[in-house]
Amino acid sequence: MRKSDVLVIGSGLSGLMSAICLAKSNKKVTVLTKGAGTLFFGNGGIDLLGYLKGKPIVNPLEELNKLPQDHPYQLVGSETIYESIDFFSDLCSEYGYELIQNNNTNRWIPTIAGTLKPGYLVPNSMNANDLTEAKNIKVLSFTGLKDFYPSLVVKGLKLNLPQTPSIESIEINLNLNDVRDMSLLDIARYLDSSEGKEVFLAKLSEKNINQGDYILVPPVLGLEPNLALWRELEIKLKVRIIELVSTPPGVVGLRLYKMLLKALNDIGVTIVEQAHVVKANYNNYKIESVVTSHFGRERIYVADDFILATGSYLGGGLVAENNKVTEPIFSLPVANITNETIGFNEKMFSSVAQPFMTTGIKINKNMKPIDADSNVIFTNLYAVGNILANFDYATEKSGSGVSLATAYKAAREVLKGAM
Amino acid sequence: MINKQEMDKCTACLSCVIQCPFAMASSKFKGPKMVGPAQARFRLMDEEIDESVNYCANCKNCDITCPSGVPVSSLNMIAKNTYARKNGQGLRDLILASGELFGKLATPFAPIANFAMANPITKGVLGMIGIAPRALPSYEFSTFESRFKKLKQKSSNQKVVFFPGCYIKYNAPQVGIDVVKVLNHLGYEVIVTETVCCGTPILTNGFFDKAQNNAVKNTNSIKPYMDKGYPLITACTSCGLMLKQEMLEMYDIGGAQELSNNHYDIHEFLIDVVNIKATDLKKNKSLKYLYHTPCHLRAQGIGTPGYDILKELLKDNIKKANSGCCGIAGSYGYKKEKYEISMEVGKDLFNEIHRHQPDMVVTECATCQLQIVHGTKAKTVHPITLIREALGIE
Repeated sequence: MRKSDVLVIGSGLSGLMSAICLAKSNKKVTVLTKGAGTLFFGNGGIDLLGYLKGKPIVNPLEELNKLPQDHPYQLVGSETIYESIDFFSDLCSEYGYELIQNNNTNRWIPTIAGTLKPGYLVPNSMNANDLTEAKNIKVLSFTGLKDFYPSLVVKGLKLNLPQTPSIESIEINLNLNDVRDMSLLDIARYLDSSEGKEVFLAKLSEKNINQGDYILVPPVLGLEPNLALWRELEIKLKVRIIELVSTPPGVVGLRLYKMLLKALNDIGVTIVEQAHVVKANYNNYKIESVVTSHFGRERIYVADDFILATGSYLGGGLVAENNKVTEPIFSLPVANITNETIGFNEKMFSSVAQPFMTTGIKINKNMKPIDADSNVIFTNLYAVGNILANFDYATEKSGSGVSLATAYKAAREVLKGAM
Repeated sequence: MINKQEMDKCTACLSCVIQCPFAMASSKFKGPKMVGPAQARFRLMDEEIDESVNYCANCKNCDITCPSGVPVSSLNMIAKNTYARKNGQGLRDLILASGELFGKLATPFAPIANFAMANPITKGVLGMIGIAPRALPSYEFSTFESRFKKLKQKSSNQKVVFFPGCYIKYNAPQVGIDVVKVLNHLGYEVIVTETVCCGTPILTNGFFDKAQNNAVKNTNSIKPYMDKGYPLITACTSCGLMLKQEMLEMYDIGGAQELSNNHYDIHEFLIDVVNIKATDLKKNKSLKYLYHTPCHLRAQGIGTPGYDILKELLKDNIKKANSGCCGIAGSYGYKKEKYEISMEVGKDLFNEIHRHQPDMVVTECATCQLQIVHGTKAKTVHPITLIREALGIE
């Protein structure tokens, strides 16, 4: 039996964020996690709110009050959302992971599908604000790289940037293919080595690259969260280099994950991996402990407060089976389950929301899970991030923003309660 | 035993590929998702096994990372063993699987054996059969078991069973003695029953049936004590993982579940059962320590109890390394064709040790210790040794 001040269940963005906030305020925090979270799938930055009712948004903070009253952002409140973003930006810059922001507005970042997506806090290497001024855009691809089609990017950019005089693709061969297909990770790891960097520069110099060109690359410029290689290349080649948002395995997400793990380690948060939390012990509406069970006996973890950050369906925060959706640890009621919401939109990639996305755990303004009649279920339990009901991160582009804001708010609530 | 349907939990999210240290270090390994759950589906149709699976080190980072609970590493181990059965195994793998036999043979002649192993001719021969050019573990003249028999223990109602494992038995008996002395000091009587190699190196080298025989022998020997409710304690993280998890995943052995249920890492036992407090520990030598977390401890789902105890005691004098796997993965790093991969995986940790310049690196795993010494020349120590010193036990 081990005792902490606060137990966080889950190690995605919301779990790690709340753990860091609390540990920075001298709480003894333990993170229990099954799997390594889903940060690798993200774009390494923070999306606050990209679209509202299908329309792209310029200034997300000004639009938050147009969201439904039960949207997590409305429950957190705009002041705390600002604070959460500042807290996170400061943390990232403390660790040399540079996220930039554009006067509180969204910026458009190009993707490997040739589309543009809105982002709020963006890794510096993805800043494409000046792309409209480019005369020559060169989309760089690597021979043998799967899942990257430069012609698709060229085609998409020509549609989005009709005034740009030249958009073309160039290809270099790093000869990395061995017994397996090359991935973005392989290239990034190779470019981190001095040999890789040298070969890359040499191959690039054989191409017709001129000062002032814009080179768009898939995210391969190193695995470390410091963008050192990106900076060096821009200076050496006197060009602008922009990393594209890509599909998993996400190099940029890995950089952010590495940075957060380093921060967690420095601040002294304990992480228990392979901790499959299966149930909770409670008394009088208060959680006393949670129980892990994997191989061997059950193990008990005691704390004063508990933060549920287990995500939605992918990592098992919510479990859907046989027309029934459950929250497996605390058996919290899952909101918005109707015949409609448990169905799905067969047009997978359309911009129409998947109805099941708004299902999840309902919380009040203190981030505490509530039942259908708005009664708090457990007095010392908070729920944060993607497990929450009443938002749709996929069509809103709000997932990471909701994770930060709710995690930060829950941490504040825990600290307030302790005072 | 893991069930064949487990592979269907895989959603191909690639988390395991991102976190696999060995796929990252070498393109010869197609990665845990590909050779694990993806190819496991084809293996159901008796497809040829991809030899790339032999580059899996069984470090368990895939299992640790998976959001869907797929037993990726065990699917790999089953494939690796099937591959070995179909394609035969070399002398080298037999030698690496036989650490226990060599321990038994070498310890009576430890000084000569150590000299012989370090001698250039032996090294040449080892190189020829495919063993990497690195120091082999040295043997101690008196084994753990012979030293243990000489210890005088007070009898106690509180009894525990200690499973030392080969490395403590033949190469680092003092660590085992430290375990026993700490437990005695805290009022426990330690039972060491007859056991054989836990099976980890045997299984990872492809000797599936032999590893099963060992698992059965150990279960039969230990089970009667489990029935009395005695805890089962290990100080080697790989032995611990085998007794707690891998035996259950690989085989169907009556009684193995009881071993798993009663298993404690020594430090987990000190925290969760003994409830050891920082105030029980006297101030230690004020040296600077860096703690390295063995992958096979991370895989156990118990956190880092050894570090947690030492952190209470040593405060700012101990820091946890943040560099992941050391790269040796037991006997993997001893294979000539995998040596460079092993060193590439360890690079981040070696760099962190060089940056941090600790007086000692603390880690539970003996092969991690060997790799750290090989990669950095740093001194290493098992946490239980520091705890014994802190308790003021001679």
